[in-house]
Amino acid sequence: MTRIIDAEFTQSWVTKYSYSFKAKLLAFIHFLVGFLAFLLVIIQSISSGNLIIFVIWLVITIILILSDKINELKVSIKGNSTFMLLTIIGTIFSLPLATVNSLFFIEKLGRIKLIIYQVIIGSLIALRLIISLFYEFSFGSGVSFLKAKNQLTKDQFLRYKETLLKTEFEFSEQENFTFSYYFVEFIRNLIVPTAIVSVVIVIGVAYALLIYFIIPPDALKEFLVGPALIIIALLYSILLLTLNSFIVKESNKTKTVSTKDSSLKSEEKKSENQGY
Amino acid sequence: MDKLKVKRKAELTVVGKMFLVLNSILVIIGFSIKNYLFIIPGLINFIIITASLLGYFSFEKIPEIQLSLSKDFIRNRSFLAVALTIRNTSNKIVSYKIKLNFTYHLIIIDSADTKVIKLRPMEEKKIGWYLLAIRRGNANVGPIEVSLGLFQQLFKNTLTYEHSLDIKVLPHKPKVFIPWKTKKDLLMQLVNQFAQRVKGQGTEFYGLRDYLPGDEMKHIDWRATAKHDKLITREYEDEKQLHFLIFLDLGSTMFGPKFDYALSSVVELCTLIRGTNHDLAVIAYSNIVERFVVPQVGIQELKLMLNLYDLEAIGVQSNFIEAVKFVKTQNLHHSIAIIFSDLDGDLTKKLEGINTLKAMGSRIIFVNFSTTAFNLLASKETLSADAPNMFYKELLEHVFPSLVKDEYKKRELKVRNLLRPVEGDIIEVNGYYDNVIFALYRLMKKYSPRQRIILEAKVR
Repeated sequence: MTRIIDAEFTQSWVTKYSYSFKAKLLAFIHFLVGFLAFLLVIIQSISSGNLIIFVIWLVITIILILSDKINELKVSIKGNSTFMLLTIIGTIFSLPLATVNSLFFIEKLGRIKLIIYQVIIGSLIALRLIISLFYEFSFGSGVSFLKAKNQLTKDQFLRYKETLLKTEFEFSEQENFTFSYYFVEFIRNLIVPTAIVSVVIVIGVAYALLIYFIIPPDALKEFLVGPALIIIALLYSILLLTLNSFIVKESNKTKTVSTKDSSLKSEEKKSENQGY
Repeated sequence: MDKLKVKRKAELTVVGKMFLVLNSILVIIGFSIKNYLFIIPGLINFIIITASLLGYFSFEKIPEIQLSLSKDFIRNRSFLAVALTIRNTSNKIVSYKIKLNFTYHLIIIDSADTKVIKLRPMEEKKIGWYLLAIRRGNANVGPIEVSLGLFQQLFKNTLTYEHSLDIKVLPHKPKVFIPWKTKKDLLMQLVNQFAQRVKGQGTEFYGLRDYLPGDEMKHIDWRATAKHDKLITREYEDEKQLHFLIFLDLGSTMFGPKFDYALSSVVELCTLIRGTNHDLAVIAYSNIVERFVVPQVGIQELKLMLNLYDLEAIGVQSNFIEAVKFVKTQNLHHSIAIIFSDLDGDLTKKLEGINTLKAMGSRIIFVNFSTTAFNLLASKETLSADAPNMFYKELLEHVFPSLVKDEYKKRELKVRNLLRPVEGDIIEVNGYYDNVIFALYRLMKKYSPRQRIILEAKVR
């Protein structure tokens, strides 16, 4: 870009980014949700008197704030992977230091309060991820483009458009999809996968229960369902990777497709305008 | 029916694979320590990855496309419209994300390069983009990328239509229009002026006549003057055919809009000279002679112009000595050398080259494309935009340009001093509203009889 800049260019054109108010709002909510998730961990660690866990998560929250500040409107899944990594690192450090009242204490033995904390924080983490995906889907194309700066350039561009419309070389203006359209489309695309994952979980649980009824009656159900779901999760991950390699193999075949009649092009060329 | 090659790419991206692995770890930790903080996001992630992989099966049938441009060639800084007709060949309602690719010669106006379009079964739509040409050269519009599915960052599911259209971006449209007749008159004036000045076989002795104001002192025949007791001057035959040598600097300092403008000026001057019976050759040089063009007549001439438009400034420092050496080996002595260059970078090679040209009996005109009038320096606003504070802003807006201008003046003086003894000239093209023809016109004005009397009086 630097090479093309000259006085004339900078007087006439300015680079704009297609981030709307909604995109900015969504990016802020994305940050807020992540911040809230970590804040809850901090609050819980204070109430449970785990000072070291409090310090660990405070540092992690500061890192999150800084990384979100740097990225600002560049909300992406890549950035969210960093967020997930931070969560895993925080947990690994917190696990050996957790006391009975901590969120990270393994043997909760039915402490509903702690489970509610976990569910809320887990949901917020998932929500942040969904927001980042939705952001990418609806505002992902928010790249830079030029916009006329002074009135003369604006008029020139407008005149060019008008001249073009008088020729056969015309095209419909881009329809602007609403925010709700993107949202509905997003949810619609998640219905089938949700059903598939639910079926997989049900199969895992059913398999664990089947073993529970087969093996001696003194075996504890909770010791079977957990490992069964871990195995199912691993198997499902492998299945997804296998499906990916199958797709790669299939898609590598180059195809040909017929286009519309080429006379269209020659007709359009006849109508070239001598504009600007 | 045209056939188009379509390349399909469908696979988990690096981010997608990393995401899947990280998610497996999340779920395993979650179930191991029975912590919902991990289980819930882990399950949601599984749903998302499944959704992204299922996107592959959405491309049931490949959509048909047709790409067209509003023009075959455009001038730099002019508009271009690109239209794309797309037809959904499947039996479903599909939302396509279409991305238009193009080379660095063009830039998009008013909208993003990616558009989302929703098509009913067998429906056809024509969408478009407006582009602005920003760099001269052979541009390309295409290929088109059509993607389907929600999460392209996780799972790339795109169709690339290996179809691109060529478009030639010519230099700027001149801001000033000079009628052809005026240009021709100017050239005639230029030729007459130079015919008297270029040493060589064409300057044959014709006769003696009375001295007229404006005649050069060196042409006064002192013996005849003493005999007749009045000033007598020698008259020479007009130069029948002049040899114009046009040097075009392709060095790194010429990069950007400045080079484009210099090139269009060269083409303009070439076209003008080709309209006469004078010889012409163009030497485009960087650190070596990149191209030596001798234009032909008729259609060949057009080819030459297009050939010239393909020239690009090269990222190395130019060496004018090499260009002059080349001219010497070609025995192109006693010519009118017009050098299209600038005063940036190392001046020594340019000065040395000029010296050699001088020795070859050539008449030299150095056309300086001032960096302060083109490129970044011309825009104070852009310069100061990245200034960290007010002090730097002030410095960049006021002090820096004036320092550059002072340095320029020094360099200009150096070249001028070197050219003066051989009656060479330096002319300057200052921005888009100036023109090489104008600059030559200014030069001719300097040589008008009236101006010459004033100049000679000053010298005395």
